[in-house]
Amino acid sequence: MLRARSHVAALGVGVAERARRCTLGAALLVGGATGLACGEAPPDLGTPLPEPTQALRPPDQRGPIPEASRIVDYELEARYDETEHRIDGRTRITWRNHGPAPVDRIPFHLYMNGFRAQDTAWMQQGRGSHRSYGQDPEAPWGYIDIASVERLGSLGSDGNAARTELRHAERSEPSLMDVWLDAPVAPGAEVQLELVFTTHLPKVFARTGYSGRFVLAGQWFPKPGVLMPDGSWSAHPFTVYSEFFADFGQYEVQLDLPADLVVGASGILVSREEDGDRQRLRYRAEMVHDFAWTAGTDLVEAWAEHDGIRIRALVPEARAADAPVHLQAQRATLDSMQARFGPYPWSTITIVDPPPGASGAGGMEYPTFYTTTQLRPIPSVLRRLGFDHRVGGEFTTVHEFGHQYFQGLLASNEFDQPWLDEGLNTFSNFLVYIDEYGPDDADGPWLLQVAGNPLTVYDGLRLDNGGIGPSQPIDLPADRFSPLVNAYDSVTYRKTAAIMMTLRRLAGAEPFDRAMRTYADRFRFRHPTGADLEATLAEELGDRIVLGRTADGRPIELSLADYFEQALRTTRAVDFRAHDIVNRPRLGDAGWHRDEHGELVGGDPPEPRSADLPDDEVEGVVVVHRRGEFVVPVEIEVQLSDGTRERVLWDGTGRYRVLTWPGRRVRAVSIDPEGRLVLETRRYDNTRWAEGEHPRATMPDAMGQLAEASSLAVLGGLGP
Amino acid sequence: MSRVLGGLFRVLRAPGLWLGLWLGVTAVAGLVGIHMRAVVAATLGPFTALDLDHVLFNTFDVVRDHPALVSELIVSVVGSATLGALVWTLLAPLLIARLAQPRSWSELGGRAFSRLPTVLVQSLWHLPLRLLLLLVVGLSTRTLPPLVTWSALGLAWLVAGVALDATRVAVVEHDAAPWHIRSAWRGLVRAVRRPGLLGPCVLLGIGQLALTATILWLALAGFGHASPWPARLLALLGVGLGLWRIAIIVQDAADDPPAAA
Repeated sequence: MLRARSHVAALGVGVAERARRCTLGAALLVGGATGLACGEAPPDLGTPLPEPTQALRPPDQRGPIPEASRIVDYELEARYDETEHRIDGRTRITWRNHGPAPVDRIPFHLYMNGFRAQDTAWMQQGRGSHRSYGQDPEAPWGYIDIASVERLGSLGSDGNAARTELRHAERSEPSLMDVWLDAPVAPGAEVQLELVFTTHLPKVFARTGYSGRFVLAGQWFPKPGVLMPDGSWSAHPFTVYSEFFADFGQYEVQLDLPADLVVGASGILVSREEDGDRQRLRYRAEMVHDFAWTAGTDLVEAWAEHDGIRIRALVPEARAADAPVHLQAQRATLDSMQARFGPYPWSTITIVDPPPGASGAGGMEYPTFYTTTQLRPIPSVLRRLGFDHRVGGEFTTVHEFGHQYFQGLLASNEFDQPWLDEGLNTFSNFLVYIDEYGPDDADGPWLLQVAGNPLTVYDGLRLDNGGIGPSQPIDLPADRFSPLVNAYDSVTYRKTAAIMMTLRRLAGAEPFDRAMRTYADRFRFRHPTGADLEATLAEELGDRIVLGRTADGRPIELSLADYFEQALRTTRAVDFRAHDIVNRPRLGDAGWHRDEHGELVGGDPPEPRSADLPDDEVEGVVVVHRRGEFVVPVEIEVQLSDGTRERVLWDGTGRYRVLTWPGRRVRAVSIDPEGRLVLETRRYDNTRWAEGEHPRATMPDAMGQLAEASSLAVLGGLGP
Repeated sequence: MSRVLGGLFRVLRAPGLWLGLWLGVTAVAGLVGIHMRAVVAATLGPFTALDLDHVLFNTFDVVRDHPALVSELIVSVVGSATLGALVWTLLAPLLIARLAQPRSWSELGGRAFSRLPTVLVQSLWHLPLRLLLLLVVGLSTRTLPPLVTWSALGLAWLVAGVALDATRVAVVEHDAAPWHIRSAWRGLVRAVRRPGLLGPCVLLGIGQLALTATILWLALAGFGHASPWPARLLALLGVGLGLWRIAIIVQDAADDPPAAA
């Protein structure tokens, strides 16, 4: 009932508001754009769908789940006090020692403590802001306080478990805590702990917190670190870029919230009870490594079902019309990612578009639950004129759902190797765009259009992949990236995607996609490393990929190990330049030569200048320069005066490559004509025309015409 | 309607004025284009080829390495706009005198030159009036959707332009008080009180804005491969619309002369 009531009320408000604006718009004769908007039908929010009965899809649809991956189970109880913005919680954690040695200490992440004071690791880096959102001076701090930690033993005669109080202490960096066990946990054995905690939420600026009555609770409870196969612990300080790393397990969560809040959470809703002005909700999530929830009053629900997966979107009332776009983006992403990376294993997914004031919560992933951002669509009048984009909230939806795979399912260590989730996910997002919009060729789909001129996915990656200029290598732990250097986003997200796209274009889409599918199948519900990815690709594509052959038949190969070493662990940039084109006279036999008697004979004058020579007496020469330090094979296309084009593959070693065409005049040269090297960010110097030759279009002409037209517009169009 | 047609006939009876102004505009714009071509060519050296399938990337790629090119373009456009504002103000008495009636060159020049100072002063008086009008409209529509607010501000700008031209016509042709702000105020009142004058003039102003947008759109849509002539011909039309707008005000003043000083 709560859903239906909020749904209808929201639509009513939306239509009335639109009608009021239409009247005003018409009265002021503002013309087409408003008029077109007035005619829009109410958005189709779908029919409310029943809650799935199982958190996971049926076994034949979800794919295999390795039992050994289930390491830690949670039973959480939480009561939210919205006046104090406080969560009083209790968690019972069952942790299994899957390591090689007994364990007598378990480190815990207390992520919320990253927002506790100015000297935490997070705040030292973030200085009170995240992305473009800053701390609210009225409610700046968030923290979690652990009241007690107890080890639960076997059940006593009274039916209660025996309890042993355990020593626990925060580290000097308060986002970490150690719990010392009273007795070691042997390999293969398990331990049950109960922690009582209180979490204070900040006003949201960095993904988690509240704004008005809206709340997004992420990283709100204590989470153990991850025991690595060598017996060491992965437990990291929470920093601006570190995100999260945890083991898979089952979650049984009871939330006690004000009754009028619309709630969304990871997993499935098992039951809901109202008790006065409170509601108690039980959620279950299986084989996930986190649990987040949201609640608010002004949220509209929208529904869809796709391939047996229930999709639920929670959207601010004022943006109800955005919901169908998010749902469609979700469907397209599911189609693409299931086809490429295997089945989505869970039965539900919840999309949250945070309301105005809570935008700091937008764009974050949690298992079976994520937050997106506002769409910001282009008015239809401008779209008809060729102005459009696909980089707003629609892209955020694609990106955050993508994390259900590259983080949710292939749960890499986001602290040690953040590129494995953000970078591979960004790469997969562009594949979604290719699958949804096409084509899968050298151009690819557009991200942005200006008066009908497209900026394609590859163009977008080239423009912002950190390839040139001060930068940091990709394969670094998150805390090695400094906000002051400002390389994290472009390097971790876009450059990783560019590396994968380049490899896909060089190796071929079909074998590369097959290799990535092998990686995804092999490491589902595991914690793959960069080495796992590199080994899988080498196994599937070969250590050395033959890209072509030289004129004498020698293979030109791409060494995968060398490629990844340069791409991931150095700041080398791919950059080529068409250094020169020379058409010079062929070597002849003019001048003095000795004959068989030793006498100097001949003395003919040299050939005239090449411009006056027929083509067959000219030697065309092209000089290609590898400006960047990154060594990678590259194709060179030469246009000859007889109208033919020839392509030569250069292995990229050495700084220069000189190519000659005796008896032919060279008109133009183009390096990497099909744009396979998506890693190359500077391309305008890849093409060059010989002296006296004229390309079909030039940048000076284009810019000159733009300047002339702009001048005509302000002088002629606006005057007198 | 007679006012609108009368204005149109006044423009058509002065083809030399129309074509002369257009030639001046295209010459200035052409020089701006030549300058920009030369700067870009000198900056890029031999790497001038434009990939027509990726013009946006190609352009971003170039300006990322050479951001001064963007400054150059902005300076060119702002310079053109500044030049336009200056030249159209200086030429206003000449245009009004010619549209009012055919005159000998000496009479035309004499009147234009003698009324230029008063036109400049009245144009200055109109600045605070225009700002006041924009302020009032902006404040009264600030709670409405941004599209409505901006549209209302645009309309207010056009109305103020009609008022300015009404004042200029009054001082050039009808001996309105040459220096007093009263003439500027009367121009505004006259424009606002005469919907038959204001409506067509505002519509012509909107037409000019639409032409401006079309010229810019053509330049972007045909970036690197379109002929420059459609933009030049649209500028001819734009100049004609501007003259027609002034001629309507001249016709209106001729039919019902404003108060003299």
